[in-house]
Amino acid sequence: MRAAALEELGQLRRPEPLADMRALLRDPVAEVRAAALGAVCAIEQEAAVPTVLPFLDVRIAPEAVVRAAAAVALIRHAGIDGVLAAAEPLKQLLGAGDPRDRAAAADALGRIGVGGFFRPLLAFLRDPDLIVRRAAIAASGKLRASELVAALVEQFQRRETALEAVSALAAFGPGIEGALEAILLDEASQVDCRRGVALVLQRLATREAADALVSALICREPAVRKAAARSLARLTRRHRGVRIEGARVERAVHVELAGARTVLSIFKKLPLPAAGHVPRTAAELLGMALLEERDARVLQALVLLEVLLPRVRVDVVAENLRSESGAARGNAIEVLDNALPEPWKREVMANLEESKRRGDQVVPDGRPVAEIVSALIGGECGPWVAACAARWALDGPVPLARLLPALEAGLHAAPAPLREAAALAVARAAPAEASRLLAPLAGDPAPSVSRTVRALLDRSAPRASA
Amino acid sequence: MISTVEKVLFLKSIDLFRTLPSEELAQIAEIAEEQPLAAGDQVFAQGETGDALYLIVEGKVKVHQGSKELVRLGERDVFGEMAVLDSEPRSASVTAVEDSVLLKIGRDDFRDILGERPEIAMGVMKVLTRRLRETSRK
Repeated sequence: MRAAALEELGQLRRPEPLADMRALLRDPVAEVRAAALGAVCAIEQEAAVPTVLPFLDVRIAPEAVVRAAAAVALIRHAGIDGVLAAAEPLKQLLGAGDPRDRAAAADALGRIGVGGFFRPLLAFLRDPDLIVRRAAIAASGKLRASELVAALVEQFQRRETALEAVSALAAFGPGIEGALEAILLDEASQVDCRRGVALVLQRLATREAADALVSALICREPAVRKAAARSLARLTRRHRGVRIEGARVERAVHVELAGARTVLSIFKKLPLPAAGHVPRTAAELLGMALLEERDARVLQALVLLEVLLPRVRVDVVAENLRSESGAARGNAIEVLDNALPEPWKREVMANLEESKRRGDQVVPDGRPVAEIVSALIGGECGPWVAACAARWALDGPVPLARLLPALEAGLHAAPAPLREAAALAVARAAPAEASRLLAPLAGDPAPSVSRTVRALLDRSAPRASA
Repeated sequence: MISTVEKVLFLKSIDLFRTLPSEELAQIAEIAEEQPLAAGDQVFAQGETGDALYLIVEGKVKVHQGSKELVRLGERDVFGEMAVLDSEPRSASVTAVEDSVLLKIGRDDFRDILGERPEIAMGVMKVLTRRLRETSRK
């Protein structure tokens, strides 16, 4: 409270309580002394230099937070003399070995607020110490230098700094949408970074931010599409005035529903038993994964329909679509039936297999089973379905040899469960070549993959020597 | 050795995870470590800090305080689940009574996933809420 009061008085530049404020320069709490330095200097300006100067000395002020506050006060309020006096001590803090000193320096740069001082913050954003990175993130939000945007987006890769990075980037305000959109749409960028960017765009809530989110609705990565749709729905719900390009959102809804239709038609074609709620075999799990993928795409379409039809609230309904309770799901279907206008209702209901019109019903995929399974392993219906399909292939629904090209490609796919399942299937499909094909995965970064592959290689080794 | 897909099949049969979509369970499966035990092996001792939850894939374990057996658990039972949410000391010891296979999910890994994937945290919360409701009804 003392520190907050001092900061307030410093901003008001009221000289009456100056004596009391000066007394607090000897307060036992470092943060209070730091605030007192800023307040006194804000009021006395150049005249405060002799008072503040000693606090740059580590022997007078062993706490980095006090030395940093003294440097900030001199630079902000004490003219050229202050700047010259504070420069060297601040540089020492910037290069200090103690993380508390570096964190105080990062905080000082934020308080000084000069955009050109972004370079030390760039280094601090990659500091090995978390407290330094946190201070640098907060300071970056105050500096608002465009050079810091990419380094702040990198923070989304770490859970402990992700939310702070969202706040810091949102503090930049309008003007960074272009840079964020480039990252959001870059399929080579890290997924967590792209999802974090969607949250920032939601917070910016500008027309440009909404446009960027709309552009991401048809990107390849499902997690990014989902994040963009949810951010866009929240943005439009909270900021009714922001104009959205409805035609592009409509296209995205059609893409999602068409995807759901494809998944459902594949499910209907493959000889998969009904799983109920607890799958017991790989075939049942693949069936469940396909239906979950269908549901995910329908849910994504419903989220986007909320953007197009703000009066239709389908989020709770959507939640109940996945319910284990038949009554809850039935109720959700009924609400959707009443709430959705045509032509959306027909498309959604057909995908949920609730359509009474014969012409709307989804028919089984026309391709041969082997071709479908190859396409699934290749990722046609998402990474998890691909892993389940590769594992199901082991049970022999189609001759494994016909799936070998897709399985070999699966060995190098990004999702670890797919690499693992593909390794098991390749070892069965091509035992003579298993060592050559699998050896590169023995050092796979995913323990599940490397363990499985090493066990497979151990098993195939005696056979090879025999 | 249990593959990730097989672990998902197993996790789907466990009450705590049953309602989570299988794709989300795959992430939990990847951090679930297979732990084979011989009869008589101790899983943890009373008073130890809880750092993991365990799922019984095969076999049986007994929960005991010293020589007093409290309960015997078998296939698909879960124990130590509260330890992933708090770090309280174990209130009892657990020992395998026959050769068994467990899946162990470490607290830190599990918490990381809960932090990164709010939908998984939401699924766990729903299960805990359901259990709380059931307990209140009794």
